[in-house]
Amino acid sequence: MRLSEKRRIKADRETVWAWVCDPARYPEFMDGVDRWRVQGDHPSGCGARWDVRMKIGAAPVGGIVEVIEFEEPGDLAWNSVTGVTMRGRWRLRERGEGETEVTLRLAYQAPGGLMGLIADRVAEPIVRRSLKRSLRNLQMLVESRPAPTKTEGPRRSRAASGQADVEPEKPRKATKKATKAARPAKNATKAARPAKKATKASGGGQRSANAS
Amino acid sequence: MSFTADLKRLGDEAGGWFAKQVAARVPKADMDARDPDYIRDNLPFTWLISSLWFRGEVRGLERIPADGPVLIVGNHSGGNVPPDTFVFTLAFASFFGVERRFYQLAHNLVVTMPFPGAMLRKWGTIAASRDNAHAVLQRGDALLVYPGGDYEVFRPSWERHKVDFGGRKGFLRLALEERVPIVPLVSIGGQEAALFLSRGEWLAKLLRLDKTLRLKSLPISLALPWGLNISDLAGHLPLPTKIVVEALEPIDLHERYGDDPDIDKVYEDVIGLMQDALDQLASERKLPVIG
Repeated sequence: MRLSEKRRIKADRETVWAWVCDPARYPEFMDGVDRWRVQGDHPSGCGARWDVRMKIGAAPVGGIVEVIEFEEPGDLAWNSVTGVTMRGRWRLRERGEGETEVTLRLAYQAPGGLMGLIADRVAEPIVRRSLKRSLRNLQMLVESRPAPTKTEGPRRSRAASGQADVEPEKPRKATKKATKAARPAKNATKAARPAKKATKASGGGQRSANAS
Repeated sequence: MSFTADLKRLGDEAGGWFAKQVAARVPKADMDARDPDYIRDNLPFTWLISSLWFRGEVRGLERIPADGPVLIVGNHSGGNVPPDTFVFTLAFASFFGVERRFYQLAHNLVVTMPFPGAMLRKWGTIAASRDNAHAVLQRGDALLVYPGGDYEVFRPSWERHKVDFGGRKGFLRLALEERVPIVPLVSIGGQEAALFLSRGEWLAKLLRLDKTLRLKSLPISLALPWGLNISDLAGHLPLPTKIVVEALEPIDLHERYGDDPDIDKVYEDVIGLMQDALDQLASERKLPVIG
């Protein structure tokens, strides 16, 4: 299955690159990340290995990936070493003054013949949504400021830019995430809390706008 | 009168013979039967069932020590078709990779049967015995045990949110002897895959199965596609019940209780801990089956 998502970000390539070349920042913007850890001595660059898990359906899917292309500041590609066969790529291209077109591509193939093909199909919308959200998160974080902190970030940028394309999360899911976030040591949900508040904030803003 | 006595004696003898046959067929664990490539090829199917049918959700995998021997101790639900094992095995294999050796203890009968025994052995399921359990941990591998086993999976559905090991404490001695951490694993939803009515201990007694086949229970449930399902030996089609599994913080028994702890107290502690976690999951659950 090959998926590709694009998004324009109001920042130069170098700024965006600083985010996508640093594995430590992936948990902040990649949607559904269970784990994005450096394996070995090289955190980044060609040959770096990342231990990657994304929550897809009932399982944390992923494996160890190796960076196979590292062309500063435009191209970063990786290939899976273990786990699901996967290849991913960032393409950053300049579009006009201070704008970057960010493409995130993911090609994956589950093992197991026919069952793998079916699983690929079933997972497609989940993965696509995940890629879209990741790009959106990246945009919010990059456009708000170059060095975000974890407590605030998405909230300010969303409220400031007043984006309407933010999908309001289902309330049930949101409460679940909130309870999860209240527990200690939940790496994946760190970003979820401010995101939820942001949704609320933007939703509230829309409502008041309608009323007036 | 003597005729009935003879018949009983004959039945008991036949049962004894049968029990011996089964015992003789219990395979000594062949660790090599576990096949990582087979597991990898079957993950997509497992993922489909876990995601679409059981809407599985597994939490706390990062709490399981990333390497070295570990004893994972779970509560068990769902009769002979336990969805919790299904969902957790998938999550474990995805999270740690099929390369990490991971074994599960199961009832002798399950592993001995051609189906699904042959299949399960490739997943790393081995017959539940002291020797097998020690062997796995001594190799430095991960081991999943369900101390409640056949007793717990057939508890009535209205006791679905109860951790019930039936007083089985062997897992604690195992962890103490091998000096490995235990990771309690709680799961919810499995006992709603069918309507479990009774363990049927009285029925087993009535039919003298306890004497002849050493079967202490003959579980009774309402399950698809059979309707009234007695024994569940042929399995059943589980309802698409939402399964949530959570791994808790690892416990180092030696560190917490010293070198010669009171097993009964440790047992109460671990059960209490798991019951609290299960109560927490139960409070999140709004409706049976739906979740």
